[in-house]
Amino acid sequence: MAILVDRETRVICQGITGAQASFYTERAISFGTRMVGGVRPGKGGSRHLGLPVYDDVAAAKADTGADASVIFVPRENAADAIIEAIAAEIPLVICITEHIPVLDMIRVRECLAGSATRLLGPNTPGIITPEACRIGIMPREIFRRGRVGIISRSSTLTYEAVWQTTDAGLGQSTCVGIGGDPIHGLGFVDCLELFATDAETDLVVLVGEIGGSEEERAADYLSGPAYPKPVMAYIAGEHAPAETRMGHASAIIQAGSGAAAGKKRALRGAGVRVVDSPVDIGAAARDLLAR
Amino acid sequence: MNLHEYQAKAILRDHGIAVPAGRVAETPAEAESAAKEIGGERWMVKAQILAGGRAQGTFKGQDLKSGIRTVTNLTNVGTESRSMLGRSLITPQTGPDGMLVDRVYVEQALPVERELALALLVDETSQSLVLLLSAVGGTGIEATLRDQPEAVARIPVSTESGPDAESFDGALKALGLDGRGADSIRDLARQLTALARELDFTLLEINPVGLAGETCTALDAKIIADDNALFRQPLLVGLDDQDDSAGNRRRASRDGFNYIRMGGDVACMTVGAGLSMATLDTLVQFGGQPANFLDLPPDSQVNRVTSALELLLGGDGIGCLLINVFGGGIMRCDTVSDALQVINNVRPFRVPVVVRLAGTNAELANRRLREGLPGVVQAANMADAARLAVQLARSGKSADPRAPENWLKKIIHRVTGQQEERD
Repeated sequence: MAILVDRETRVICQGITGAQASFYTERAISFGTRMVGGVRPGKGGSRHLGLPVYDDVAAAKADTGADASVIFVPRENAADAIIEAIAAEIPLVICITEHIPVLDMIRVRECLAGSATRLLGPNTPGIITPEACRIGIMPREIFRRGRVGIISRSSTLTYEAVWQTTDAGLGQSTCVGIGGDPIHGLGFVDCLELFATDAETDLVVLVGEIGGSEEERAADYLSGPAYPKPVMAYIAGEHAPAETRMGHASAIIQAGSGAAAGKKRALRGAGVRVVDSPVDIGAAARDLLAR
Repeated sequence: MNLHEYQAKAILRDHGIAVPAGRVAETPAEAESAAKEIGGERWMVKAQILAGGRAQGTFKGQDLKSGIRTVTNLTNVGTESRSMLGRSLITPQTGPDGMLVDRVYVEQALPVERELALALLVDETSQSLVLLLSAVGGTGIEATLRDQPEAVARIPVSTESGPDAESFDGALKALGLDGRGADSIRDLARQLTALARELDFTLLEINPVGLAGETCTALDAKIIADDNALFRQPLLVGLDDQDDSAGNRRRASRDGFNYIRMGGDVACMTVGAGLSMATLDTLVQFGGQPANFLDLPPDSQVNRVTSALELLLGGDGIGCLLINVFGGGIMRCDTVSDALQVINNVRPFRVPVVVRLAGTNAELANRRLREGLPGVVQAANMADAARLAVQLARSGKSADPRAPENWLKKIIHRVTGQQEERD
């Protein structure tokens, strides 16, 4: 089924009446995603884009049997929206909203512990299993069904990696954006675990960047018992100005930790094929799959 | 957003945390009268810059040591302030140019029996709040963690209930801090957690904490507030005071994008931090020198792209402008082509412009460029775009100004192996 989402995934949208949410819900419907409803407090009982609207997530879930929720709620209330979805035991929550206060996200992490929910994001472009399910804001034209799994922290760089694997004639099984914020839901390791047992994925591409420790933790994990598939990676920011906060909240190099060189070394040490330049992603993927 | 020590201490004082009496001063005379008001016989004069390591710092072009000095004579408060104000302080954290000191903080020098340190921070690895308690104060907690890891305890913190009481008691005991003053340390930790929650601080470091008798005093304070939460923190808005003599970063942040000057000859404009960093990596790989990092948020409209382009084209020593945009989400490529058109209508480009557009509305945008701006070089992918930009920045300086089209065509042919596509 690829990972996390497939043709059967039933999706609701929190904040569905907003301009962005409406735009992407329409696109998701035309893509073939099974959109089954939306949530907007105070507008329960009405319909929007042909879908039923509910006052809260619990009601939406009870009525539609939703197993995923995509959140477009403005950052002021986004954390509460995630917590509401966790309380309603939605299995997969995808939060597109960016610039959520960090301490709000720590509160969300506290609620996630021991819950039935997996969170993607915030500040994620979403997730796509080509020809089956599209949740979020990624441009659909660049995708093609194939056997490469992609996990990425950055939005625009995800598109570049997708486009290159499409251009190389490979295509994707599932492409997951874990988001660029320092405090977030699923990470590289969680997604690697899912791809490990996915029959439709033959190669995993990690698109990382400076700052944080996602890449180091992935390297630790991949150094353990043999991972069943080849893994490759590109880490953005080798030549970014040091000690500087880049656009993503978590892309900060501090006092020698979180720098590109250390991440690459750790991943190479774990048997990952690391390309130094983003323009080599497509060719390296083709090369690894040909072996 | 980083806060100055004097700003941080005002906040601590307002929230019932003990800090030494102190005043901020912008002139030597103000510093002297501040010391007089504070009273006593020993004062600290502390340079206010947004970087650590001030005690080990030196002043640029001078023989003057340290951004933190103890003074025992009222007139010397003025003298020491004069030797700091208007000068740049270089510390291990400022980089070689240092940071300009335009304010000093004059503070009562308190005798303490023991120094320790407390830091509350957002820990990315555990995805939670963590409290660090160090038995050693005064040196950086990071250095203590590296050199004497046994002197630092990590205590889990819940946003609801604060520091874990059992771990905290264990840490106090292990570090030999469970004697006199233990309650005061415990209170301070609780107050810091409440304060971080109330004002959205992602780092709150009190280093050193001075222990005298049974009371703790915050002798220094470092605070980082969450930029993403400023919308609900009216108290903090207006405290922003990042040092940037060029003013470009301030302008950029006012206009809604990230800008960092890097000094090379290829100006770069991209959308999204990840692709921006990837573009720099690619440029360097092909032997180029980026003039800047510039990341436009994906919700940018034509006017914001235009102001970013103006900033870049106005830079010194620019040999080429490289634009690499992958449309997606709410970013559409025609926003970029329209902004280029606007700029060129006002003042035609004086440097070669290389544009790579892909994703949402790329076809439309590329057609508009071909029709409206035939001088702009269009690249099919990121690799070609970077190679072209590097070559053009280099050749532009030695090109024959009477035949600009010829060298442009030659380079495009050489780099892409194709005939120029806009014939």
